[in-house]
Amino acid sequence: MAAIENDGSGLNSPLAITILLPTLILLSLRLFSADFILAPQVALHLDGASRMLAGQKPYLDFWDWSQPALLALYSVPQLVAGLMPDFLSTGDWTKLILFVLTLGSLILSLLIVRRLECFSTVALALGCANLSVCSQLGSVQHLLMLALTPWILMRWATGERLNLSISLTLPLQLLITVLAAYACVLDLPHLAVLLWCECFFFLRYGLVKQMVQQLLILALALVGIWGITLMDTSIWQSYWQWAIPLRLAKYTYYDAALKGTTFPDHANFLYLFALVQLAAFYLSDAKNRSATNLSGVFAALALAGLTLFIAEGEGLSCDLVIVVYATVFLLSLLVVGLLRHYKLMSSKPVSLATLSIVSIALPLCIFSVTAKPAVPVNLTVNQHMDQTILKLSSDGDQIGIFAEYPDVAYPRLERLYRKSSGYLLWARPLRMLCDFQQGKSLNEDLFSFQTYFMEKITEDFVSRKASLILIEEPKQSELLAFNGLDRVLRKNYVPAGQCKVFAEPYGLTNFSVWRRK
Amino acid sequence: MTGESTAKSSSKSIFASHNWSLCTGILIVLMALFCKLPYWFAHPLLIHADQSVYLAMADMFLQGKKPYVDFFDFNPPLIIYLSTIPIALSKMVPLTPIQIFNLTINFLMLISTALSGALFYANRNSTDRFLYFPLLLAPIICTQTQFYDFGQREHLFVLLYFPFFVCRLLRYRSGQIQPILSVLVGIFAAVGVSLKPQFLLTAMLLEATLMWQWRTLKLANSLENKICALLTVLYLAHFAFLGQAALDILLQQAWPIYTTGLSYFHIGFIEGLASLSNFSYPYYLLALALSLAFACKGKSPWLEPAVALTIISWLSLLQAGSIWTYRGIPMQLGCWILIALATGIGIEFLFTHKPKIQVSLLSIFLCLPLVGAVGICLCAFPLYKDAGAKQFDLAQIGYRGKSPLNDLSPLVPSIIANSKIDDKVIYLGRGVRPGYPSILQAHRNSGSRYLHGMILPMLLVCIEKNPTRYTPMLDKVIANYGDDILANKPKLIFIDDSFVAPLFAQHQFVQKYMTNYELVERVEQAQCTLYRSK
Repeated sequence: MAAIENDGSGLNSPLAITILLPTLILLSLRLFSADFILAPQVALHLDGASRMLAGQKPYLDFWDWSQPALLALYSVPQLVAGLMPDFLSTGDWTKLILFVLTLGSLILSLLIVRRLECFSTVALALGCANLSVCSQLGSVQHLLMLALTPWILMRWATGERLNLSISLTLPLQLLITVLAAYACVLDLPHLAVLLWCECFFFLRYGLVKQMVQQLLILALALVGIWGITLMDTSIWQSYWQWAIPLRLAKYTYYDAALKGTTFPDHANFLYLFALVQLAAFYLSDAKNRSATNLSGVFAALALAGLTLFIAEGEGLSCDLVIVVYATVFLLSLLVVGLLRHYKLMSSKPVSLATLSIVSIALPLCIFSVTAKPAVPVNLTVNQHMDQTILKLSSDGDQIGIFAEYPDVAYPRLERLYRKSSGYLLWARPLRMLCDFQQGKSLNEDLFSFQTYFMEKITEDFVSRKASLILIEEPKQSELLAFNGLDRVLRKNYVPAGQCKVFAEPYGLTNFSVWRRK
Repeated sequence: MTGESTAKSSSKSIFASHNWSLCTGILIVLMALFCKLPYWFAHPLLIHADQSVYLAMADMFLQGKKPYVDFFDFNPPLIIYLSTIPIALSKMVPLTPIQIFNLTINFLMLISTALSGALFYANRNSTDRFLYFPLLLAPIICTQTQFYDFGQREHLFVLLYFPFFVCRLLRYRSGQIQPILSVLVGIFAAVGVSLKPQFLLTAMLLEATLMWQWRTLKLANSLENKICALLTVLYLAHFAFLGQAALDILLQQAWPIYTTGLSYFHIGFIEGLASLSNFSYPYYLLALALSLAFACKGKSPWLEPAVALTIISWLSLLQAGSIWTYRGIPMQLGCWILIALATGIGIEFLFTHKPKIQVSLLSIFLCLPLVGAVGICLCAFPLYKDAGAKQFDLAQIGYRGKSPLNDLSPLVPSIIANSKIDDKVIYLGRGVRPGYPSILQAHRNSGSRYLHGMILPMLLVCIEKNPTRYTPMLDKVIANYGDDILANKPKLIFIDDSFVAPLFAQHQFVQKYMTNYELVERVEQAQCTLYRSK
């Protein structure tokens, strides 16, 4: 697979950016189509960011796993939308900003490889990788990939500097490093992914002075950003006392309630993943060191992603973004490499023609494979929940949803012009802590957190801020009863029927609906 | 190893001249081989469901009963034949068949390691020599980290196939292989790949990748391949001699039901991850091993076949789609081989490029067995401590000694309380557990041709797909159970409350076949009811 050193097209000038056009057109088509909805996690982060902008403090006034750095990032579209309220909605601004971020990541990455013969191949691979995860655009792992790709390419280019004679300007290096540091602060395990890739580089290149310098700058930036985003003493305390212990406890938690009805079926994707790994290992030419190293680091990245997906143990699509992104990147490299191997890119005109066809065919394939999953029965069910909310509440009302997964509430509430209400943005910690309590593994920190959020939920019910409360049956309902919160609920709310909804990864779940007295 | 540099040749003399480094390597391997042996002596009744049911079938086979006709199973019969070895030995040695079985697997590990070691020793001057000791440790670590799946067919495959894998690699690397070793590894591999069809497929795919990697077909004709192919063909041919009745059951019942109804045991990937901690372990190992392989790419031609073995086995595991973690053992072996290769490459790098640190490095190697021994003792401590907890007196089942009570399956106390040694017992359930290993642990015999009830839920799945074909089969199976009760007059019958009881009630099973039985108790832990003959 000699595609990295020279794909034979001669497209190593900025004109080669045209190779990205089909991908970008398809990405825009998907992203800006009327029925494209933001991933639930993105809508949830937006909600958290809007609460933070309203003066609430994460972990204290509302609960989500997210780091403050992530919420700070998501306050940008809120602020822009606030400045130009008549122009676009917050959701549309978010899409636009995420699209610009994707373009930015592509440009940064391509700036690194701009002088290499492999420019067009890498451009195609990056475009396809981004297209493949567009349904999770803006999710925390996608943001990591946007920032980590230029970093990985920079590290690779630095390691290969003798072979590829690449010179990177200092501002470019600094920008890429700070972005990578910020991406690592977005979620705790991201640091592990970065370290995984760094171990790969160390084993391939050893201790290269310039690479060590880059790492030191990254470490400084990391500490700086982390410190700034957690500067508030109360947030700092609750972060260490509650967020970190709960997050760590999550990695040793086996959730017997998970049924494995993952959507889409990740097991099928794993076949492709395995085959791509095998092909990447066999087809990369050991003599072509730079090509081997580039495909190697993305293979290792995909494996780090798999580890993370397994550690998270929830089977959510947003946890699989790293794996999909890195696998599609590798697949694209393999396709071009194979075409070259079979002499389909022997001369410049043939090579140009072949690459043009691939640059259209490959994104089209990915676009069709990653088309929105058609599950009409579930969509009908979801409409039923929408109608229930519309019927029993008015525009701008606050709705409290106790669901295991955020898919139920987000981005539904924004789409229906409602707001979320209550301390828990999504209610999984409620069950986790109860399970820990019953398993007698509830330590002092987690016990204090449980006590605190029970008080907050009671406060939410008593204040009657939410006009409607939807509770997942039977799990969340039983948990509220277990903690004695059902009495408070009954005092302030009356039952108003049932509705069903489709939520990942459980499939169909029932909800009881409660209306304010 | 690629690249025959002068640095390497100088390091070769340094490395080769130190016999004590060889001794250290051997010491580490021996430590790894025998570290868990006391554990198996402390747990004479520790066995898990599948392994125990094959021991029971092997016992029936030695009594002259015919596979599939006198006792039913879905799998090819080789595992039953192999299980006759510990059963036959247990007739000669005053130890429980379970303990003999566990020790036999340990012995197999020893033989497998010795075979691989002999192959490596013949090539001790090769440029690949740094890889040899770590590679020897791969199947040993894979074995010593098994708990529930110790002695499963996949585990046997791993132990039987590994010397063949080594031999094939050495063959392609133009290594020296004595004909006697070729014959032995060929025989071992033939037994391994014949255990299950997917093992044969794995071996064939791996051979194809070797041919592709070295771009030659000539070496396919090697002695070990011929022996392996010949014995595999002979095994396949032996099916013709099983008898028409056995073949009818195998081809017209067992395999159709297995292929159509296995989906009953399928679970989602996430459900597997969420249900079992040991479901995720092979995947963490996989991520680590493959990442190391990519990091070491180009440093050894052994990496490609090891990656192929790992990923082919992974695909096989994905295809199985069940919660049976033993399906992942071949993948685990692939991972350990990759980790071993990365270690070997690292050792070679240190020896060839950092000669100054050799003394300290060798000192570390000398310390390794000591550290390893302490580590293993610490890790194993809870297990030994467990052995010191509540004990079960083996005299109750006709043997001498004691066993930790925790090793016993939940039906054992009821079986012992209500029957005598060698009495017949039936468990009517939807799986192997808890009927087995309970019946074997209690030193009783099966009272039915169906030693496990997996056929029942699988038939229900088949009926959903093709009721015309499979409904009569279900009726026949239930009638067979009844006939076995009438013919064998088992002392005890356990009936699973949640699945079998309602299903059999539709066929008025108790009224038809169990009029001579009285209800004794409900075994809460196993959710079944016990009946005893009046």
